[in-house]
Amino acid sequence: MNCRSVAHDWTELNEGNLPFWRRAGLRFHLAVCPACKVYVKQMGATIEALHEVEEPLPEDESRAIAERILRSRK
Amino acid sequence: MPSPEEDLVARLRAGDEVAFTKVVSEHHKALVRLARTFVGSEAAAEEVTQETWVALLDGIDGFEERSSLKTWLFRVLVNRARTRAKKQGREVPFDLDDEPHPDEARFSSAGFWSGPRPWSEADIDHKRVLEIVRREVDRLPGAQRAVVIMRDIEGLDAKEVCNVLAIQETHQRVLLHRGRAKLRSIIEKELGKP
Repeated sequence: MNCRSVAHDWTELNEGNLPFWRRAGLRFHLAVCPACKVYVKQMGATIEALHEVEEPLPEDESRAIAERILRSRK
Repeated sequence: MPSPEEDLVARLRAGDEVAFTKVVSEHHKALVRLARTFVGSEAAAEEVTQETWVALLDGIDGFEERSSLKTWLFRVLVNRARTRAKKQGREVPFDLDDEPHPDEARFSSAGFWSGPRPWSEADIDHKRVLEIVRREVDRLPGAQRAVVIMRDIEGLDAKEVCNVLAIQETHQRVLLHRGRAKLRSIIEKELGKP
């Protein structure tokens, strides 16, 4: 296992889709590799930011869209 | 006692406009963003989204609740967007190619990070990261963008995304990982380090 393996398999590892030995190998590498620890934290920060990308529409805009759609059906 | 989703569906069936406005508020922007992935222009994406809302209102009585309302909405949108894209002669390829990992050049021949290290934690400015992600997610290749929008922005699970896009789970994971890794790599470049 090396840094490339971590960079390639991080999502698979995170989603619990890897066989036991591969998972164990990656976890061991992660425990001892400072660069990979940073990489994993950055991937986490990227996903955290993605969770915040979409904000709900302001109420007046949602109401205007909803009214337009409801009108279009009448 | 009905779940919040059952309650929402019941209110939509009863023609409750407040409930409909709430669903629009929660999902409209994400639906437009996802539609844009397939149809290209903002105007076409808005139209496809509007058709999806009409389909929701017309079809809510027949909604069997085998999936969540959100998954159902996304599936209707993707089907409509794909049909429209086809008519426009556009197609978002969902095949996996041999695209290299965005950081491939950063590894030594032994597969260890070489050269400068990735951006350090101390430099993570959350506001800046969010700004970059907001802009760059719309520049990802279509298939990666569609998966990232549904998984990481809208919070659908892997099975739901596969269901909406009609792709295999392994395929979905590769697209998700490529999209996420590309965004991380762009953030790294923009933050000026290395």
